Amino acid sequence: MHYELPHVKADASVEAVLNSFFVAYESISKFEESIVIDNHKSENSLLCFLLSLLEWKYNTLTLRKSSDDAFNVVELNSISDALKRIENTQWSKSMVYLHYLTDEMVCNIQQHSCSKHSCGYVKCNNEMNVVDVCFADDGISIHGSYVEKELYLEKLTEGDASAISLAKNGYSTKDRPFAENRGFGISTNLKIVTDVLGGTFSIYSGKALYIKDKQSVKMIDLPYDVEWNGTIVIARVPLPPASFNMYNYI
Amino acid sequence: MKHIIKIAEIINAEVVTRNTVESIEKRLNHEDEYLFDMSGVKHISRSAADEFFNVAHCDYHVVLVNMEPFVKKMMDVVSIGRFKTRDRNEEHDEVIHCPDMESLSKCLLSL
Repeated sequence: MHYELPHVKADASVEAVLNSFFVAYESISKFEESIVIDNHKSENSLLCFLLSLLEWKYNTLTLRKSSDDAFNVVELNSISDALKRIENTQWSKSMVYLHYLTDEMVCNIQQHSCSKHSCGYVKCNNEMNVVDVCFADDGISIHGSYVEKELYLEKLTEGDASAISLAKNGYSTKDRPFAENRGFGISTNLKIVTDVLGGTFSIYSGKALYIKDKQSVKMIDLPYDVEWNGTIVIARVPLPPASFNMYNYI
Repeated sequence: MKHIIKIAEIINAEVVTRNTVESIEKRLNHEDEYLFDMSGVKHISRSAADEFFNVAHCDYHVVLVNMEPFVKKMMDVVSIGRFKTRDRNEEHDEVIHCPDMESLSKCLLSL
């Protein structure tokens, strides 16, 4: 059976991409036979990347890619190679920050997710002057990570949404005694991407979606059939101005 | 006994994960002294820098030397952070409940 991929433009907002992903996810979850999705019709590679993650969940799903590197999907240990591909563009002066962002996302997955699968996506969109970064895992979710360590349980009153709130506020499950040395990855990058650079930052974990840009912020409790067992972080990073100094914010 | 450990030779010119630093820590003993020669390390993540800080400030005798400017800057960020109280933004995010796709689409596309 073929699933008709929703038409999403290459320059669609992160919100529009996520909406199309959820519509597809909900539809696919209802199929009982094997499904094939053709990506040839889609202009939006971030959406294709997100849909490809469903292959982890549904063994019956096949995403036909138009070329091997169509989605810029990379193994976590190859992220620096992916970044090298955009090093000689207008982003050359911002590579220190892109490394900081991707390093922290990789470390979060390795330290906390307990996942079987994980991967990253880094793609430069020159028309929009942005770099889209996405990291995904099929692990225990942020909520599961706090529960496993039995930390901050009293603050988890709203399940996955509360867990995302804790993570974005820098509450780590692995602080050392008498030091708050962990939990900077999400909190500092969220601030830099949205408040400082005016981009979009989104965290999708379990049954909750957090999405923030410079103007608005939403924490959404999702329908049960689009629950994600794991965590997906998306950052749309606008080209930083020449005056940007990341050390002022970390 | 004094040892010099060339980090770039053992790990890489890029040190990203905490695990790689922990793997070096496993080679140390508490009696000897260690110089971690950081020459050749061009890039370090904040997490890896934090882990080096841990190794250099626990019961081992470890000193980091020959740090490249970027590495030194990240080590400074980490060590300053250790003595600063965290300034957390504790504002409560109101949760929007979307029981179905229609309400979810409406919520997402109204941003």
